[in-house]
Amino acid sequence: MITIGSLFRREAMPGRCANCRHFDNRPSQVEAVLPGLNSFGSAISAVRSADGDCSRTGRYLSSERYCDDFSVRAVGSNVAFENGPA
Amino acid sequence: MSVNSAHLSELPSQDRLQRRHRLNEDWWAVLIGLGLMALAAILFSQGQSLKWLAVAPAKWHDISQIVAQLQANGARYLALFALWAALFSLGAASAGIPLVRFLPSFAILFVASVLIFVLGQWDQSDRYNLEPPLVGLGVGLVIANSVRLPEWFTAGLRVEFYVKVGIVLLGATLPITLVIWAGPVAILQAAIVSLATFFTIFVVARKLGLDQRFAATLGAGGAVCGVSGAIAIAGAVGAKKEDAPVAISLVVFWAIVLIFALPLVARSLGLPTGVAGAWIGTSEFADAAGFAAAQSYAGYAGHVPGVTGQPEAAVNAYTLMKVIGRDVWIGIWALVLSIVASIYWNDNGGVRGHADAGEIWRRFPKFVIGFLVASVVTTAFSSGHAFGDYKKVIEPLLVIPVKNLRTWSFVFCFLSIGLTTRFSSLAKATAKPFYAFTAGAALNVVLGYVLSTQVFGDFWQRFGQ
Repeated sequence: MITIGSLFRREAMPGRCANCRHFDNRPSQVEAVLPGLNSFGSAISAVRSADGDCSRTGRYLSSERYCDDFSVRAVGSNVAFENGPA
Repeated sequence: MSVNSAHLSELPSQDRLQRRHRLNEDWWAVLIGLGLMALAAILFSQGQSLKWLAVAPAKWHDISQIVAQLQANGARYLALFALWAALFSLGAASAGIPLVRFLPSFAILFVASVLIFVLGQWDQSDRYNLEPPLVGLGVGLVIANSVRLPEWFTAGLRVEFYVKVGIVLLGATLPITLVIWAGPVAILQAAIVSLATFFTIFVVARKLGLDQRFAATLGAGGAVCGVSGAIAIAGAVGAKKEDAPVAISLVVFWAIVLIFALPLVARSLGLPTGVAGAWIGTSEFADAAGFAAAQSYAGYAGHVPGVTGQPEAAVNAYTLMKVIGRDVWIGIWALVLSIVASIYWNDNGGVRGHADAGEIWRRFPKFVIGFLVASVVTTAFSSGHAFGDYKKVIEPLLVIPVKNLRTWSFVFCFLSIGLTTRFSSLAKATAKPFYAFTAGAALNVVLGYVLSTQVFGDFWQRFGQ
């Protein structure tokens, strides 16, 4: 059974979306998958945190998520923002 | 295809190391807004003022007057442009926007803003309802939807960046005592409307058969902070990526409608400025959209028969309601909904994750900190002076220059809203999400009106005086 406490526990995971090659959270990519974002929002605002686009699952999700299809990303690609500076 | 490497997330990637210290737009807004305030305060303490730099067109009657004004102040306008261009370039460069695209775009935006500001100072503008925010927005909308703007031009149209700088500067003109006095009422009123709107949209969307994550994304767009709320919750719950753009389209559509509708209806009802500002703050979806509406209503005070209260009260009440009452809670909404999604919503596309209380801080709109700091500093600065001194010395030499800079930032924002809103590029919303969102929007407007005019009407009227 899932409890709220268990939701906060960090467990070993295949790898966060932030490090996955299917995940892209560069502002340009976020603006591309979210047309109209710039009218009243921004891809570089704090509320967006480090969310991005997953080409594998077709989801817009947090960089802290993970799934079984994790595939390590080459250094220097895809991830633009980490959660640190938010 | 899959690489199952436990603890890979603990390894710092090259990008992570390079970008860890990159500031987001909110922090840049704080630095720019507080930096301008500090500059104004330093000059003031040395017996000088920022007013030479913070130039703004004065009221004019015929063309020759405004031409003479602009000629006489040409150097000041150039200096003002250089200041804004330098400050905004810092934020743009940090966000990875090439300055070769940003600067020409901002230069055009600045010139257009001068024209809009000048038009607003025409002594006949009230007669023809030429409120600068609405004119800027309307002109921008017509241009963006009739001609294809070049890609490089969009680099300078940073709606959120400009409105956030404006909000920080607004803090400098709003005493913290007023924030403390009115803040709890704003939070209570906003909480009632936010919860009612969210659950209305969510329940209607679910009844219509929409996915839970999509329903939550729509709900947050209507209840919390518009486009920002929608994308924050879409990310937190892991919405399908085709759903978030639909929520954005609906927010943009209704936000534009309400920018024009709320001030006009409030005006026809003769609502005092404080009451109208509270209503706009409760019922508008996006920060920038609400500022356009509230700033327009501020322009009616003293000019339109029946509209009473201080002009500033419309913007101040709006800010308290929207920023303090609604925006700051987005992180909590995101955390709670991510937990609910993890426990109860099964269709997760195989994606998993743990809840993280750090989400509240990461998504916190940091510009609010700048707004509050600016408010505290100005209050402390003014508190040692008698009212007469304040009106004679502090207001003209310190407060009005900061207020002028704030107005400039808002004008950049209003023009940018219109110029970035291209209806044909928005995702098409089908009937079900439209009905769900519209049900919440309707409730939002009616409940916001009742709370602002009846339940808390006396309070907001006093606030405006």
